[in-house]
Amino acid sequence: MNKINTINDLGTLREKLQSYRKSFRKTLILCNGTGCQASRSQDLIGSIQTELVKQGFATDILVRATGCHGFCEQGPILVVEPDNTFYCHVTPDDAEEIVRKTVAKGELIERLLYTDPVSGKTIPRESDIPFYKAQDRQLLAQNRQVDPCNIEDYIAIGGYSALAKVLSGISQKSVIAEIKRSELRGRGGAGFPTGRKWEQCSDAPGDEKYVICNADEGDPGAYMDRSVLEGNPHLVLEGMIIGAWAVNAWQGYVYVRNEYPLAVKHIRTAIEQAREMGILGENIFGTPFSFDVEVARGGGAFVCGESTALMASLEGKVGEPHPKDVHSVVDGLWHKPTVLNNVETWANVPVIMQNGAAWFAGKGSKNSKGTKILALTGHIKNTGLVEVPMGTTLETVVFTIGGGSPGKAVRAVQTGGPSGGCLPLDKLYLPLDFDALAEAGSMVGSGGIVVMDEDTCMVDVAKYFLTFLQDESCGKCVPCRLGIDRMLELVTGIAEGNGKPEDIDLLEDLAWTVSETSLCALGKTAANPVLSTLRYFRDEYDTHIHEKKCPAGVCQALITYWVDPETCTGCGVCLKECPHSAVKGEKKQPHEIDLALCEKCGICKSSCKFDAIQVR
Amino acid sequence: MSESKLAAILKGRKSQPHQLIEVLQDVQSREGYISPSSMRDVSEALGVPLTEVYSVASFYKAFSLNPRGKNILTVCTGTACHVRGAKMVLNQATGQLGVAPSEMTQDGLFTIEQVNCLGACALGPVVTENGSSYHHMNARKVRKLIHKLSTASTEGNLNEQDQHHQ
Amino acid sequence: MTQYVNINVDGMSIQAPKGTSVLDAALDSGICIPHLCRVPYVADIGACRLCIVENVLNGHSKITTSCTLRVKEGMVIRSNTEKIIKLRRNIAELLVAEAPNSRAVQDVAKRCGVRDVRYSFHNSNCILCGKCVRVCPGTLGVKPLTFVGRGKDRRVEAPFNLKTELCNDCGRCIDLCPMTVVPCLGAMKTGEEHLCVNCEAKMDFIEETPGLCVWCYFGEGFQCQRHDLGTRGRARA
Repeated sequence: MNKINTINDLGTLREKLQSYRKSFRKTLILCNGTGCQASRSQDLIGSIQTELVKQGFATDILVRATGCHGFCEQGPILVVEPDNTFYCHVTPDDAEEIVRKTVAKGELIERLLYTDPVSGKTIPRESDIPFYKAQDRQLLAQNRQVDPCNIEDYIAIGGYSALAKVLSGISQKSVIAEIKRSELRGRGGAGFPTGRKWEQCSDAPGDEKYVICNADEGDPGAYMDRSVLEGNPHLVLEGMIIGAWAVNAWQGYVYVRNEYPLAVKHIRTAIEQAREMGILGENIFGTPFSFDVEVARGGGAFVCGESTALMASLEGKVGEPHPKDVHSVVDGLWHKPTVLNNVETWANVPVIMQNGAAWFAGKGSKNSKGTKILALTGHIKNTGLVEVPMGTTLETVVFTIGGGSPGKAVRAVQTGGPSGGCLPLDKLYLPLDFDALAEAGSMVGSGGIVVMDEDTCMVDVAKYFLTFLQDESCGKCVPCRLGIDRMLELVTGIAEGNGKPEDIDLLEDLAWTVSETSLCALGKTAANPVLSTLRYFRDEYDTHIHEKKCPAGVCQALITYWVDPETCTGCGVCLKECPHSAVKGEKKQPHEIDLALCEKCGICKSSCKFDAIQVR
Repeated sequence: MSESKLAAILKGRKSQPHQLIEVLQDVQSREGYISPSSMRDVSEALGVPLTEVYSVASFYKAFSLNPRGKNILTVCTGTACHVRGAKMVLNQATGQLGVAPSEMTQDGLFTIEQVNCLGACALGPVVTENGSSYHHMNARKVRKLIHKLSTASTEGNLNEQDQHHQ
Repeated sequence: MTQYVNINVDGMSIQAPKGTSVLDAALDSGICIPHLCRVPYVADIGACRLCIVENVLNGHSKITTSCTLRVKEGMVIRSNTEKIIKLRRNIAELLVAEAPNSRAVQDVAKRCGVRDVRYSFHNSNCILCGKCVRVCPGTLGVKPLTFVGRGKDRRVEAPFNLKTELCNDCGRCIDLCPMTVVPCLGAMKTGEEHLCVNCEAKMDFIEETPGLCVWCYFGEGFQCQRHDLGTRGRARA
């Protein structure tokens, strides 16, 4: 790889790469993100390449393995350009036919096309698919255009030109002013104005400053940052370099959680390639600015997503947060001024510098500008990543884009991860807005949206999040360590049928105490799941307490499995499958479950082909 | 751990206390767990007090202070998998093997781990086992999986078929 | 020359050297803010959260621990608003429910207004205040004691038998540990834990006498560092 010595070199290289890309007759884009890899996309890529060689198309077809496209429910995905043909659920065995028909003759393979669930018709072109059309994919759309392990792809689509623009004569103060004008707010959860953060760090005294990318993404069910880091690491790097220039830092760190090995690999490759090309290191683009980045891995601690805990972890210590009476922009990593921003926040920086603050601020609502990537999961038809302008209603996200729930009706939508809350169906008119959701008792958080249907018990959801937080608490301060423990004790009691009416008042008092007095944001927001479920689903708690029943049929202590004698055909499958020998019955006669032996594992229910086993 | 293995891990990192977590990560993936002797070696090489190495190793879930079983079954208990029934999968696994998460079975064959979100939510509930992943799991499927792993040798032989026709 | 700053605590103007914590400044001026994990001259960590105060800035009150908050010129602090008193009481309640078998914990709970405990008692023998770990001098700065684990598994340990080589028997950990002082009526057996009413902190009307150190009116208490100074320095009415 040749070093880029001047900004002009970058332009020349870009042109060269663009004509190279255009020289191919067709380009096959294959999604190779972690989700699709779990469905054998690697094998598919191998098969496609083999077939191309076998059928004689190796030289005029470009194959690009990319990061996550976001339409995870339909993976593995293959797109053929320039026809824009979209194939989904592709298996390695389809490779031969794809090359023979679509690559060679442009013929479409009907069974691989996407079928719109509403119209029932197939939609051959990717850009016509409603899931994509309803989004505003400023960041995600880049994923399909680049191979994350090849910096040249990123340069070809215009990458690093924002950096070139900045280093060609935009002052540090001007960069900060531009970011401030864009009104970009942190995408990690707290939503702190990014421009203001950079300004505070820039103003802080000292020559040694740091920038950090928080890729710890601990919220379960959220994988936006992973997809951006895995699929387009250079976008994040470019943002960091611009930020470092703005605050005058010469060293940066990317802190990636341990559970994302592919993201770690890709960002490391990206850094190496950037160094080779002179985009990182001494005298970037021949200017006096020098900056380098190191990658550090997390150790499996959700609390390390908190900025002071993350910095402690970077310093090689236990990830315990400290009080933030003096902010990390003044006293951060190794007590030096530090800017810590989330992956998505950094990713927005080159886009803003390229298109201008006014363009960014033109999207979104009054206090929440730009677009946001969301991870739509749970009981939803179109599980995946979506990017929408802030201010879009949750209803649009869940129903129009997400397609609603595949089975039973939607009951609640959980946003903001363990620090957020559950909103009921009648609150889904609320917009994706930092302030609006916080007022409603939830939060935008990092962007995880979990859809829950009627078979979800809200008491169980509160219990789940409290268990998670109890496990992840660092344990230093009393309100979080003991408070979460006691909240969990109370909610578990309610879920097991031992709840008392006074428990709710105690829960609320305790939740208030934990949120007001905990040392860090983990503790401070720990009460949100409990408080929001109490606010909107109080009757469900009451049913558990007064009637000792779980209406959704989830809380193990309050449910029993039962065979409906009307539907049971006596086939005996459940009897065979039951590991605890709790099913009794004669062949062709309705079977029965012996409740004394039943361990409520659910195996019988999932084996029954006639849906004869119910939960009561 | 052999001298050469340790030297490879410590290359470029000696006397740099802030590299402690990175070093422990490498020790964990090499050895499968962090033994007391590894901790002593790391403490000396990095210049970090032994108690602090122990403190850090015991704080982070990525590190295991005890040897782990041959088959490490990781059940994803992230929110999306949870609402799709991951708890039942976990209960089945722990009940069947008779161990709590992170404990190793007596015969040294299994350790069950929990992880909070692998990022493959469309395929949940997800269970991974030494590199292979299994999707849309439920109690019945995990029971079969454990049976198969117990009887089969762990050197390959995991049928590709099973990974998809779940 | 020591630089002093002026701060306002509960309506009283006090002077403190720059760099002092609000808690230290208050205690030195005779204003008792309940605390448990503080060790004089050792860095504070803000773990017990009992010393919380309201820091009034631009009309907003931010709740923070006074032990980790450094004094700043013009600071306005309120240590006994209704909200703070309630929060402090709840925290003390959590503590005494966790470890009732200590006169210090019982005393602090009484002092903070706990009158009944709404949780089931656990009988822990460590409240993780961290005093032992922080005050341990070890040998040449290397301590045998450390925190291990995380969350509810967090505990203090002396791993690898390092105690034998690093501990120099100074006894500071034992002196400072709140759990080494047994409740006045004796050790509580599991199942018999309760809120002790015999603690030395006889402060039934703390709500009516805010801002003044309990010892002024009620005599000594386990937590009070001013116990000795008081008998020498205070003016008798």
